[in-house]
Amino acid sequence: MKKRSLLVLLMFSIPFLSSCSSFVIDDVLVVQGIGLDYTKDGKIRGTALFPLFRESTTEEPSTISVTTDNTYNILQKINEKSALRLVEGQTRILLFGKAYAKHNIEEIIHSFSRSPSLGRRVHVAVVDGKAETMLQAVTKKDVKESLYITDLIEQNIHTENLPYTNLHVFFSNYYGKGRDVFLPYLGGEKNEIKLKGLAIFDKERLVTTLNMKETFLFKLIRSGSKNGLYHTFIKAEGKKGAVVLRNLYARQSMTYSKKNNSIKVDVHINGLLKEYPAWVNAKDRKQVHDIESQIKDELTKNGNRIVQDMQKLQVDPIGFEDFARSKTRHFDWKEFHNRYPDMDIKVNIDVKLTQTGIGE
Amino acid sequence: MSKLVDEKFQVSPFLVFFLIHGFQIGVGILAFQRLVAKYAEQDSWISLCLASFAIHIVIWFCYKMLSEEQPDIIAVHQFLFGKWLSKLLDFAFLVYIFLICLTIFRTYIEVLQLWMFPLLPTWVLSLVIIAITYYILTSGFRIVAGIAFFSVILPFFLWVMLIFPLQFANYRNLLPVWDHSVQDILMASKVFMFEFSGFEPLLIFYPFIKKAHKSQKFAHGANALSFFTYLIILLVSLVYFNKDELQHTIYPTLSMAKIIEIPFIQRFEYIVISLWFLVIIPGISISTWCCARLCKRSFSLRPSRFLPFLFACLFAGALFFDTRYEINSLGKYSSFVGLFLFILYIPLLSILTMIKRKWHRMKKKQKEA
Repeated sequence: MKKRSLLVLLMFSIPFLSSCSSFVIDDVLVVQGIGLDYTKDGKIRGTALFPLFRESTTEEPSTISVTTDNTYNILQKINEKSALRLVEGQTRILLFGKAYAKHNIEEIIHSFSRSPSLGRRVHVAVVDGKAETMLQAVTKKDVKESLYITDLIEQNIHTENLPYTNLHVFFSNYYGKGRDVFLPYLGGEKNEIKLKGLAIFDKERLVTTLNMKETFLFKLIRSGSKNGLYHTFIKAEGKKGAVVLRNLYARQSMTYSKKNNSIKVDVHINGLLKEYPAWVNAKDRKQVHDIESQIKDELTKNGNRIVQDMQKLQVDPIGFEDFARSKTRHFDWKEFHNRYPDMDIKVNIDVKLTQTGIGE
Repeated sequence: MSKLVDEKFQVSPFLVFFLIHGFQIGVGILAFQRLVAKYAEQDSWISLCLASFAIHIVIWFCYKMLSEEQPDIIAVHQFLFGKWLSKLLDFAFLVYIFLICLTIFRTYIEVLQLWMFPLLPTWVLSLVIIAITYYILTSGFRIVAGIAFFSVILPFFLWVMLIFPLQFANYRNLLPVWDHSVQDILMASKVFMFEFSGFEPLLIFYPFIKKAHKSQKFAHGANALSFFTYLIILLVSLVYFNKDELQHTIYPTLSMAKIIEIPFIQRFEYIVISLWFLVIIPGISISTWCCARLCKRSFSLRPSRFLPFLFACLFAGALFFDTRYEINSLGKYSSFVGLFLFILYIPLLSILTMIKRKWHRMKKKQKEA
């Protein structure tokens, strides 16, 4: 008897539970990309990218843009313009226009870090120009794939020069003391979507950008890496020629000396000479060694230049400060911060060519 | 002396392992990282070791206190303090257990509302959980123990979840070791102590265990497994989040699940939250069972009369603590009481019991002599 009454109670609770809320894919607007721009008159322009599901199985990327004076009500304003209800759980990309990134990204971080519906593998990137134009480029004929930018970034992280970034890495760089934010930097003219390098932030403001070559070095210095290509020139026997180094596997190690106020970064690259001039004899050990040392000098010189630039700008995307903290008891942030610009940071990049391809 | 509980209602000693471990792992594990990292940051694991060791000692005290003659805390109270004062203490213990139950209950509902159903009112979720708990309780202690068993076994595959965040691990976050003062580390241990609460129902269900004195190793084992669980989750969170980001994260364990992305399910934390119901259900059912048992033993109230009243209190309590701030302070109150119980009350009680027993024995010997 008692059990039956309980069963009835449970049955009664079912309609309550099932009436929560339903999300049928045709009835909602699945936002897959959000773009933010800062307009000339000091307002925020937000763009949402979403696939429109038509009757057939195809989907068509499409965008809605709104202008508001405040970051927080962008999604609400977009909702006002949409026939379908907006859901943000499938967001894969968040783009900042360059002007917006230079202005201040604090508000949007604050809002996104508390939102329970965003995943942590969302990619964040800065656009040279306007985020709106880039999201619209996705809807154009030659792309027509709403996940295009995400795939582009992901692909480049796994196979090329881009260091690993996503919303989680972004948050930990932003909130963490002793490190600064770096994000992929996208660009391209006229409906073209292209990776241009890295955007470096000082707290919540964009301060500088790196090109793809520098990004390769940045990735090496920051964490060592697999993959990545570097294009440079060598000179031998009075001739000059282009070579492409492919990084197979690089190891990075750092040492910090408080006494000398110095940090030493050692990077060992196991590389492959992907392209080299026909007059180079890859069998000749001496010549290969010569090429190794030329590439090594070039990489070390440029690596040191990047680090010095960062010091001059007083930003620390590589995380030297965090490294020093992990090696110091009772670390004094303020004191380190003051001596960071004049700190003696030496980068030393070593190259070992292990392969030169299958033909000679 | 006749046995307090008939053998057909008793459970095997090894089930103590599941009863205690199932209760110890509850909602606390979703959110403890931020609270401890506030004090001891990368050294929190030291505090965790200290806290777990302290709880082992408290469990040892519990087993010293309970025996054939005084098989539960009600008997111990009566033995030490006489008829009337003991009833007052029983009632205080009941309030404490109810407070823990309410904390688990309300926090889990808050998690559900925060992460999955912001529009769903508290009373709907409360009713559903209460209905299930009532259903479990009407079947008696053996079923409660069975539920505890399954709630430990079934969510076990969630361990796999901890591999994914390691992809973004920054092991430097753990360095330098021992960078905090002893005071900071003890403060963090204090927070941890309450995370291990869940063994104290032992003081009530002890007579329900066959060859109860033999179950001590299982109780320690349960505590050790809880320690291990906390340790792994703490270490993974510390390398995944840096400490400043951790301070911005209310439920780090769930936020970590956000990084998991499998092709057919984008947002893994929804699965974790739903499965977590299995993890909290033994906590709620054991604690409500204990309240009913306490009432029966101490105030001779029949559980079938008392349970509806208890659930009404739970329901009202869940509606009363409504905002984040209130739920937070509810947790703070119960952890404060818990700390007092672990550090002072249980050891004191067991020392007093041991002294009084010895004294009785000496008296007996004198009489015989």
